[in-house]
Amino acid sequence: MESVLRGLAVYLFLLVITRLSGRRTLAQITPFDFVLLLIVAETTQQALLGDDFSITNAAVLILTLFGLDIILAHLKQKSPRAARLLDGAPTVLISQGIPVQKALEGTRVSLDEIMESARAQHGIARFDQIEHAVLEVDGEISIIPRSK
Amino acid sequence: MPDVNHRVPLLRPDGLQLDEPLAFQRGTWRLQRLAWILFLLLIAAALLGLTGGGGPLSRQHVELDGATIDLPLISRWQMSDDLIIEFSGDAPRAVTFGNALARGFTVESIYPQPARQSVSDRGTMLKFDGADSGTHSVRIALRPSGPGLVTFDLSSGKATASRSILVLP
Repeated sequence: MESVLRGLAVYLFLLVITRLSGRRTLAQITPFDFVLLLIVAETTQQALLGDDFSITNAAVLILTLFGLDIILAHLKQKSPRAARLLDGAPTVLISQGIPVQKALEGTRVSLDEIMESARAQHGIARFDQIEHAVLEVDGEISIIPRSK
Repeated sequence: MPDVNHRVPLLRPDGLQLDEPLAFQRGTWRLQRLAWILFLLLIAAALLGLTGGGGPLSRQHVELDGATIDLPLISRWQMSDDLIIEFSGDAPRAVTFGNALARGFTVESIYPQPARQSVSDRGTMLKFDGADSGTHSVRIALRPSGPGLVTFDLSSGKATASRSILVLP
């Protein structure tokens, strides 16, 4: 029982913290994000296993985590409201070439980061070549170039 | 029940075809800012010792007859914490711990070892030898058996005090 409760508690806690910290935290991994991810993974491992290093405990934990993931995936498919709560929604950062200031502030995305994605995805050199930029649910910035 | 996720998003005036729930987004950003303040408050609480694991507010003291006991106020499950007894004066070097302590904690070590131990309905009495009337310290390492609030009695000489330790999961 304890393994299942530990698994549920740690999974839900990480989900809430990740959502509340803002999705930029784990998107486009910088060296700092990489270090953060490593430390979080190591800390979580200890909290999940406790003192019990048996195969049974590991198996129960893995089953709990996969089970919870399947339940949440099912819930997200059935309810767009749940999907929005759990994953967030896409945010338009640049619309028709004009930066959406509130969205940039809310998501903590800079124009430099948008230009970085524009260069990587389309080889775009100048800001005025971007028609739309959207911060996707997975943290990626999609760029739609202005048609020539 | 139709699978609403298969519905095509509406076409926006700017030409993008996606659902961007603006009110929800703004609510999320506000909630995130509040959560960051909460994170800072929780870190401050942790530095003060309110989440156990050391810190000025994580421990408590009890003055008894000839003994001062320094024990955790907030402890963490599966983490060992010290209970320190300071004996002073000529009073007998003996402390009785209520039975609830044994139910809530495992004693990992006692240093120095007591000269005598006895159990009664009041709890477990530990008696230590003392060669002189100076100050002597005894360190008892306690490990919580599970999360929750553990309330127990501590007695030395004629004085008895009731104390609680909050064990965090």
